[in-house]
Amino acid sequence: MELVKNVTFVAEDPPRSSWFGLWDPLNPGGLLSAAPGEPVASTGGENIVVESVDRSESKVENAPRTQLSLALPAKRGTAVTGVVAERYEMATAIDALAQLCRTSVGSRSAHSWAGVVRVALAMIAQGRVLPWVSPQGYDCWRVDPLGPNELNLVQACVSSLPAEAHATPVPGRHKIADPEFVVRAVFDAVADTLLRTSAAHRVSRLSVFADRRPTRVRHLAPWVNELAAAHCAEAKLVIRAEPPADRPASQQAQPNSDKTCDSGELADHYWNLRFQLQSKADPSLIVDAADFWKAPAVVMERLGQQAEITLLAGLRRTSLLVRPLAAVLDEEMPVEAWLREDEIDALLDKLDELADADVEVRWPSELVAPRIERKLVVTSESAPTGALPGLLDLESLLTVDWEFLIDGVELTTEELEVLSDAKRAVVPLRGKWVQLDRQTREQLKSKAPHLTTSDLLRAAREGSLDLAALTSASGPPLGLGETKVDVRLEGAIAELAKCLETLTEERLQMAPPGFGAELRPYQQRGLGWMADLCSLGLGGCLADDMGLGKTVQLLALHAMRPGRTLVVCPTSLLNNWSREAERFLPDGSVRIFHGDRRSLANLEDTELVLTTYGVVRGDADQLAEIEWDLTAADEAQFIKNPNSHSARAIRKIPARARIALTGTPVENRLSELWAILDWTVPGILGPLATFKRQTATPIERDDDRNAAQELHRLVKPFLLRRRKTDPGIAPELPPKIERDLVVPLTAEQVTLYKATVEHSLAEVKQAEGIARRGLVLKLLTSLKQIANHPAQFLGEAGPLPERSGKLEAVGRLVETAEQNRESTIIFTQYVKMGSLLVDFLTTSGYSVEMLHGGQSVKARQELVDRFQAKNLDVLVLSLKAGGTGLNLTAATNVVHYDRWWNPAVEDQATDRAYRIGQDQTVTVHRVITEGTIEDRVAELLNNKRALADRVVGSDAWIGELADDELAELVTLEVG
Amino acid sequence: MMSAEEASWGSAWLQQLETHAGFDSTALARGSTATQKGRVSTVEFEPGLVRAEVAGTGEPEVVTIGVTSLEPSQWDRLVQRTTEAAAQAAALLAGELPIEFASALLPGKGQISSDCTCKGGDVLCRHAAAVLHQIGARLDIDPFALMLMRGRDRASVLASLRASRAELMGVEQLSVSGLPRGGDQGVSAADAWRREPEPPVVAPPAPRRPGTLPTLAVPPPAGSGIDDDDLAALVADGAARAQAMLAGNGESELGLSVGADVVRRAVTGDIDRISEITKVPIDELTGAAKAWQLGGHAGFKASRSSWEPEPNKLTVAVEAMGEAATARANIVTKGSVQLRLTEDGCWWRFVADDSLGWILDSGPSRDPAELIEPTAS
Repeated sequence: MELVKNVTFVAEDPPRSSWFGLWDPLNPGGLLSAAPGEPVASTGGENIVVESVDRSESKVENAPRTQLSLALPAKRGTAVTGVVAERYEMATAIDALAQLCRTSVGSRSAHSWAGVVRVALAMIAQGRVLPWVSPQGYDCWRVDPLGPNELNLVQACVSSLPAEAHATPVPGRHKIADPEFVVRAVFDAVADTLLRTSAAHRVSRLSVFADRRPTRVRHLAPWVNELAAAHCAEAKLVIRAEPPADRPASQQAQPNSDKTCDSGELADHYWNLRFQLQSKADPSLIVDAADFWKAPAVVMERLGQQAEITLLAGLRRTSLLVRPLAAVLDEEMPVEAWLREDEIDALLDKLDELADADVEVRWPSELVAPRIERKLVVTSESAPTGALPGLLDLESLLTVDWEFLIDGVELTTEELEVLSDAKRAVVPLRGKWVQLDRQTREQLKSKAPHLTTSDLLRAAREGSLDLAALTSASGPPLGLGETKVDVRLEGAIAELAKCLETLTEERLQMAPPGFGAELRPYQQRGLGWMADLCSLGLGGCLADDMGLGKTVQLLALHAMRPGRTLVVCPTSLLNNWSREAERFLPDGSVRIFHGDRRSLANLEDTELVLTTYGVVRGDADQLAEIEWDLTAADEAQFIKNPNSHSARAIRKIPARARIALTGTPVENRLSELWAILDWTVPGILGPLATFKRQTATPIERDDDRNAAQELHRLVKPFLLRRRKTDPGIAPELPPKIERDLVVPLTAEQVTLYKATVEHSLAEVKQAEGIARRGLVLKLLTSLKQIANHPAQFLGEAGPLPERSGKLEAVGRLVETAEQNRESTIIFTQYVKMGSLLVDFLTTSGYSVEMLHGGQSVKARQELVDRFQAKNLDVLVLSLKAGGTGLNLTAATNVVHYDRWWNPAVEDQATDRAYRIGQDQTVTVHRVITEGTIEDRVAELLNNKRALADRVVGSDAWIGELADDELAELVTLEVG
Repeated sequence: MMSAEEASWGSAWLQQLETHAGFDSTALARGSTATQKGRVSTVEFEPGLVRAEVAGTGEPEVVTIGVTSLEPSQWDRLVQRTTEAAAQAAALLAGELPIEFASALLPGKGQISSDCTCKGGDVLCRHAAAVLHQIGARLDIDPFALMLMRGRDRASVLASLRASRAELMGVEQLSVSGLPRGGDQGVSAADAWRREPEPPVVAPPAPRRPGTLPTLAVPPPAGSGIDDDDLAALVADGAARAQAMLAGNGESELGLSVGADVVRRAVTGDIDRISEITKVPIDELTGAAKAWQLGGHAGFKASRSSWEPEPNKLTVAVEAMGEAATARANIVTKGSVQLRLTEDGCWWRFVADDSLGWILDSGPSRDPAELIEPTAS
């Protein structure tokens, strides 16, 4: 549905035949005449410009076109105009409108209808539907009964409708459909359609009300009218009870016929029950029965036509339930009744049954205590050692109890006993009458619920709990009514709550002595934050930008804590982790748990174990048997699907604390956020379905700011995300971050690499002089190409995925960059590789182009301009950074896909992005295949060994190497 | 419903038959034995008559009890009298049959006739007698059946009563929703076009659990073929889908084919009854419903459809399953486990069940390796 067009509702009979007409306000006749923004017409000197909307997001589906007559603004006032509209039946429209997000592109009528349709769904979801017979006699469903809240919603719907939504003409001078009628008609149309799925009439013997085909059912009209009258009562009977000796002497009372006392005595010794009618739509409207009988028609206009019936029926039921009131309907116009003290019990005993019959008994407010309040009290003993125990340990030390209060004062045990034993609904207590309706009685009897870690967390942070959202689904029955209760914490748990409150990201924590690096201030803050969370037995998600050093922060955390750490990462990052671990933990023991010969035997007490998601999937049970102090999940978006094998497996592994690492903007993808945080602290965001219903959908679909703020507040202590552009970070960062991205070779690449090396070394041994140099350089080129991608080496155009470690790594890098809205430039020495990169990235959905020597200057400049204007995600360059005119400061990521082994040349290339005019930190990624010649040379360059001096200018130096030196350089080192 | 002072309607009815309607008490008594009453089946009440089948020695006998309907004028008078007595009107509208009303309904001499296929002669045969007793038993449960026998169903009588009571009070009839009965009076078009609408409404969040149709205050009329429970099931299904749509968890499911919708309803409905009515074999329906439960429409399609993907699409699954895995169409099988590929690129795991065949055992995954528990290597 092209929801950028105007959407008008056309009501039909039966309601399910109604439809929505979509028409273009700028082109109502279906001809291409009006220009965007031009006023369609004016009315009385004022231009009514019908909105013109950007159509870039519209989707086209085929829907039949039809002529639709609408009252549109014309030269003077309005005129009935024919428009050409696409006709969408209810079934299609319901889904399309219900899913329209507030932030999506759409006309104002589309958005207001989306809101109305969702309100209709809310009504239907509550079961507010009744069978009905349409004006033309067809079977249909309608949305009823509507209480005061629902009526308010209806009014809100009515006020939100723009004129074009209900512009169908109605008989009369220049009139269109009443929006209130139209809203109710849409409600009914949604209900009438939604209930009738294609097999609704096939799975039972019910045909009418289930079959989509209309059936004439006039004979059912009396029945549906009865239903409506019975279920949609607009008023209810209220009995106002006043105790004896409280009545002002001036009021005259009419005694019952068999009570022969005078009015004064009546007032002294009898309870007075006064009958009243109260409006359900407007609870402030209450009428005494006495006034009602004086002017029934007037009152019924306010209280509804059935008010009298309600009064009589209510009294009838009361007379049957309460023996002393049996004769109340002997009068034609009952007004009140009198009961003796001993008879009032009969009334008090039946308050529940009367409530079931929709009859409410009210008591004088001075005499009635406010409702009994209840609080949950959570106490925990202090740990024997005096230190603050972790949250997980606390669970077992807790006692949870209910505390009840009246007027803010706690009930004593004796008082509680009196109330619990009471068999009636109103009990005298502390000089007042306390109402013990069903809800209160249930609450008095209910056991305190069992609270898990996450419940405690919420209680600690918010001071209250929603009983319905507790993580232990099986517990004592909730009882009726309000499920949100205040919680008071005492003891160690209260201290924990205070700690959580003061948990900030401000505390600087230096790395322990012996750590192989100095942490920057923001990294020290990250370390402090993680350390505090872990010491409370919790966990969190570190979501710093790429290049800010998540790895080093986590390694510092490991170094700080006693105990074993398990790091889970994607296979391609395993070696990165291993190298960084060796660099920063020179004295620590590090083990890689991966590959056929992996083993967990003889683990040291403070060992760091690196493993992959694949291994975790297979060996979760084995890993779960180890006592881990800390578990870290790198690239945590791998477990974003809570049902995936990986996610479930990693949850099996217990640890005192869990940290998730990711570079993606996880706060924008709420289900991902839930999955990640739920792994760090199970249950912290509640069950997924509840989270989706209360938080994710309102934020993502309705753009609900309150829900967004609430989420932010809840998540804040457990999510830390710094961006390169943050004011605190940017000055601390070097303007250029350089990192080596070490990737493995694929099996195919290994085979090719080894074969080439073997073959070429043999040839080289045999050759001499220039021929030899030539062969060596040819070997070099081949190895570089293989390391790039087998397709480049073999001269193929594809397939591309999963054949090259470099390509996969760069693909992921580009993905993370794009999610953070960053641009990337990729350098490669080979045009062929460049075009393979372009193919691969284009297929993955990015906008990418290549710039190479074979292009004209003009063409190159165009590409540069496009890139700088942020119209390209990635620019691939395969030239030696020629021309200083090449300005690519839009890029904050520079990738050297293959390298010139010449630092100066590389820097020059990097400087296309890192130069004057660049106000952001540039991250340079050097992609290196592990164990290959690239790796060796990189090592040389990094370590500045003797050979490094010879690596200047060109690759010719390699040709100078002796056989054994050459062999050492090129032979593949398998990890 | 009835207080202890009032006799049961059933006995009042029988009493009436003997004393006023002129039935022979001995003949009547023959119908009262338990065995006789146990033989009566399919009692149908309609305006003016009651039809029932009574099991005999061979074919069941069909008994028709005819009751003279009240004249329209008699009904009007009855309604009018009730209207003027607040207590009686209240009782009737509260779902009870006041004595005064009922006494006017009990049939008198010559107003009841009985006819039976057994041709037992002019005397009241034992089949008809049994049916008369059954009617008494029915009246104990539902006194309003008496109204129907005299020609009008409960709903229409109540409607007349409301209308006449409203007239007495001098009140105009509104349609139930509070909107004018005459229909849409419309609003000024120019005013509507001039008005600035408020922002779109934000719907309340989905309720925790979907609601249900309330117990109907007035049951559907007899003979209409409408069953309260069926209506309630229909509403419950709609409410559940509405709740899911509101929570962002589902769609309307209005576009499903009939077969798919039957399966969908079988997941939460009475599967035996659905199988009986739709004639879909229970095993097939159970397997399909399991698939739907795990994977929704897509899971169901996985259990049904077979198609021919390119062979290389299956290699990753074959590798994941290991040796002895065989591939055919979109299915890779090894032992009692199958991986099936659907056209959207998702893999599903099926396991072999002795009675139900292959049943869906997992949700969808793009990576078949995830669906297989790897063997220890």
